[in-house]
Amino acid sequence: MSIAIGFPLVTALVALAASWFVPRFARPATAVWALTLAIVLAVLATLTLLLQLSAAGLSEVPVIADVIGWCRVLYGGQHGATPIVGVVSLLALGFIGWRIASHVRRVRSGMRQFSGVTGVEVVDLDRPLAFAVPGSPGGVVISRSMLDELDRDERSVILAHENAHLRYHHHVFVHVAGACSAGLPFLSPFARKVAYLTERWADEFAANRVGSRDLVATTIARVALLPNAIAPLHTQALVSGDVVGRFEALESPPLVSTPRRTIAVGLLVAVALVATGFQVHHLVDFLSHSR
Amino acid sequence: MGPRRPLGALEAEILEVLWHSDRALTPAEVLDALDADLAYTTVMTVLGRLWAKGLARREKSGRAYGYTAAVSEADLSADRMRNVLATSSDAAATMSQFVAGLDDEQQKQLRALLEKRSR
Repeated sequence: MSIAIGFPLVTALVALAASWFVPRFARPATAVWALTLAIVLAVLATLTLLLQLSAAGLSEVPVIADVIGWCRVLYGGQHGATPIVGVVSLLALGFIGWRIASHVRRVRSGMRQFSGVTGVEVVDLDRPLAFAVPGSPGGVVISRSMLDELDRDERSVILAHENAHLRYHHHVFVHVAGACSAGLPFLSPFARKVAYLTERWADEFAANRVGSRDLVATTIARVALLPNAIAPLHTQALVSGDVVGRFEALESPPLVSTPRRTIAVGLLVAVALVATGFQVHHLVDFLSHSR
Repeated sequence: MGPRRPLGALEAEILEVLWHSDRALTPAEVLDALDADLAYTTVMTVLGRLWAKGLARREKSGRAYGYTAAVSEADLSADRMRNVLATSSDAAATMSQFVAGLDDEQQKQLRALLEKRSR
């Protein structure tokens, strides 16, 4: 084993860092894909590395070496991973796995409470609230106070926005990124960015549907300034300044894709794919030699 | 052309078409406005559901019904869900809300932006 074992992780982290800047030159849809891909890649790279370290480290313990039959052809006993490193890596793996699993459980139980939603449901609630319920049948929940406060055009904006969430399965991106950042907390800013960008994506979709970005911007501002609006929750709260950012983005001219921008995104995807390639290569090596 | 969508999402999309139109639409017109490959009867069924829920009004126009958007007066949602929303912030937190509330600083910022824009 050599320092090459850390190569996929380094590549993945470079791709992750690069993905942070994609929203500056790509439309929200592209940016959501790029960021989610980079986040998943970073988690895969970390988990693979930990798996390899724990197997290598533990193979130094004769009893375990016999059991897992660690192949000395690949790592030749000179990997420098001590049993301590192996144990720590294994514990880290378990901890990350447990954090991801409990995040998934929490999201599932939250979503299950809305499993009775079929289509559009108007709830008699004195707070402005609207959200999409993914799944089948799924639908959109809107509070009555939201509808009462808005005119016809503004209602169209809200419904179009929520429909974009359903149509493009935004919850998948948000929850995959959320689960990854539950496992590796340093990914949290990236996961929040994904959540924010799915809102931007839905805003642009709505603007397209109603034919006015300005209308979407003012609707967002109006709803956010309604009394009794629900304060951001600490769990999965969107980035602070989220509404302000969305408003400003809609009030600025839309991004147009230029050849240079397309090439930049393409390059990032290529880097990510190369990293994935190394990842798979290492994993296959690892699996085929460990028995 | 979008992918096949579950009935619940379809209902929201058809309501979006109604909300966006300033006149009554027949099922055929709704079907035209959707960029989905749907059966006429599916659209009819969903419009019927929206009408039953009080989210659409309908009146005979020729041989078909014409549908317009309505905001129902009846409270449609089950008590169960209202309870969920009233008591459990965690449940709503798993959903992306249209907008979350703002703190004082953000409110000030947004008001300033709105004012700058209207000038």
